[in-house]
Amino acid sequence: MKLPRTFLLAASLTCSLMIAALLLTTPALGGDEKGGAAAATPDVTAAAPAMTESQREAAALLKGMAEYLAGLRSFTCAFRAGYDVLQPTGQKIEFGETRHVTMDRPNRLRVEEISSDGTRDLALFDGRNMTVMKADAGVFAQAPQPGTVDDALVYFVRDLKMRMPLALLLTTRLPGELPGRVRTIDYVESTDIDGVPVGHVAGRTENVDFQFWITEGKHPLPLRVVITYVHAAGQPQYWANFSDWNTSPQLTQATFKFTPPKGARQIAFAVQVPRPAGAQPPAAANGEIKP
Amino acid sequence: MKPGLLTGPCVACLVAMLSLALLTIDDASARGGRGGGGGGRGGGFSRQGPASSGNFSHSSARPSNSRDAAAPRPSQDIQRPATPTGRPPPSEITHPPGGNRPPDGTRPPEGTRPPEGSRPPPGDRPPPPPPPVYIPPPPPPYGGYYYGGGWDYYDNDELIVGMVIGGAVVGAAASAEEETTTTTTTTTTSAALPCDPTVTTLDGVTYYKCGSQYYVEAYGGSGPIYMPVPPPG
Repeated sequence: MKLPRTFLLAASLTCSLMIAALLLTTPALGGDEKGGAAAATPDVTAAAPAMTESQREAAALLKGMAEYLAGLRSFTCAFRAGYDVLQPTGQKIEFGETRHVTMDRPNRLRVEEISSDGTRDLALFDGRNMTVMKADAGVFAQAPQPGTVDDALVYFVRDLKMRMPLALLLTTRLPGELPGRVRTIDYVESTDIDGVPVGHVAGRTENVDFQFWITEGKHPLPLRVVITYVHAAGQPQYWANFSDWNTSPQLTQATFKFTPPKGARQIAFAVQVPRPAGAQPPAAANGEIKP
Repeated sequence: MKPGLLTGPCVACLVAMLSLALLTIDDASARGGRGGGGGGRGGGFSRQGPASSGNFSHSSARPSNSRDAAAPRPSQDIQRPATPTGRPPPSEITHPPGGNRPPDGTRPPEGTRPPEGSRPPPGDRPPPPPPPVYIPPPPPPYGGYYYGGGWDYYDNDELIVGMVIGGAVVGAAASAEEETTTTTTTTTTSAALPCDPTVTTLDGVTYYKCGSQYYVEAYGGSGPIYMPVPPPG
């Protein structure tokens, strides 16, 4: 049966308003920057009676995960990820990577990556500097970055233009960020991942669709996430499967100490490449380089 | 042996050969695209795209210089807060009735507003502000930082060509006018140099020279890249 467009629009708007009502009336998801894990869990059922039961359940599960992640003092986990890249030929190719995350809030983070092509990368925030290294190339870059991991991640991704998939999940401001992004959310089903019961929720933001598989119970952790870039050509997806969650790891100073490998060269971040004094624009060049 | 018995195997053989040829063509075509795959056996497939960011937001038409306030913003930038308060950004579903307009009592009455036709002609208008010079931003201070809803954008390395090196614009976008007068300025970064370069170190910076073009190695979004720069000294 084909529904009139006006009906669909009205239904969509109503749903959005219901989600907004829920998110905004729950302090941790409603823009309370001090939310995090410290925020009390509100009665979501009473907050938005117009929402369907599955929508309330999905919002509560997502909110619970956000608060739990944001409230963790430290944790380690790994995730295997894949992402589509639409080629100029129109062919969609999937690449992958594995990342090992070591978080020690408020100001230390270590992320080790192994790409599907075997190259290894490291991103390290130690509360004083941020360092990235590509061991295979024997180069690293470093910039001063005092402050929290939250601030460092913003600086890293937005200002240094560095890649950090799922960075939002690593910030304590995740609960506060969600209300401004999530337009709709609903519960898909209860299922399991490798025998672990999870709730599968699906939502939409203004420019991506997302799905989470979140462990049920008192410790809601993401076990899988899929992000679909609906406005990008080919609607590519990014997915990640999490494993080896440890919310009480034994960490040492050595975990966050950076010692350049012998022979490694330090280079600047691309956005910080200096121009030599008195330099003039190049008079001639060899044309564009395309690998 | 009847001639007809050869027909099946021959057709199969021909089909197989044609398939191989087509695969070879496809592969060659793919290699002609933007490469960047790591390892030595890659087919030249691009590894970067919107999904490689793994972010919960996406901008497909974001200007290369994120500080360019004069540039049109993509629609998703409406999620950015108006002030660096760290508050969650407004969204369509959270707008109060009437949006963010000031209350009626605080707005100038209709009669005091300049009529539409009274705006100075384009030629008399003050020139637009110069494009902001990108200065590597200072580390965010403790306790607060601009925290826009779309902060987790990731720009591909290709977009970094729009950056400013030191105080000089070397970006493709900024040098659009130059491109009409000179086509020799290289603005594209790459994972590898196009030649066996002449290497020079000056003031602690290593320069790689191919032809008359100098490059420096820098850490891009996904690893080391070579960036074209003006000649040293």
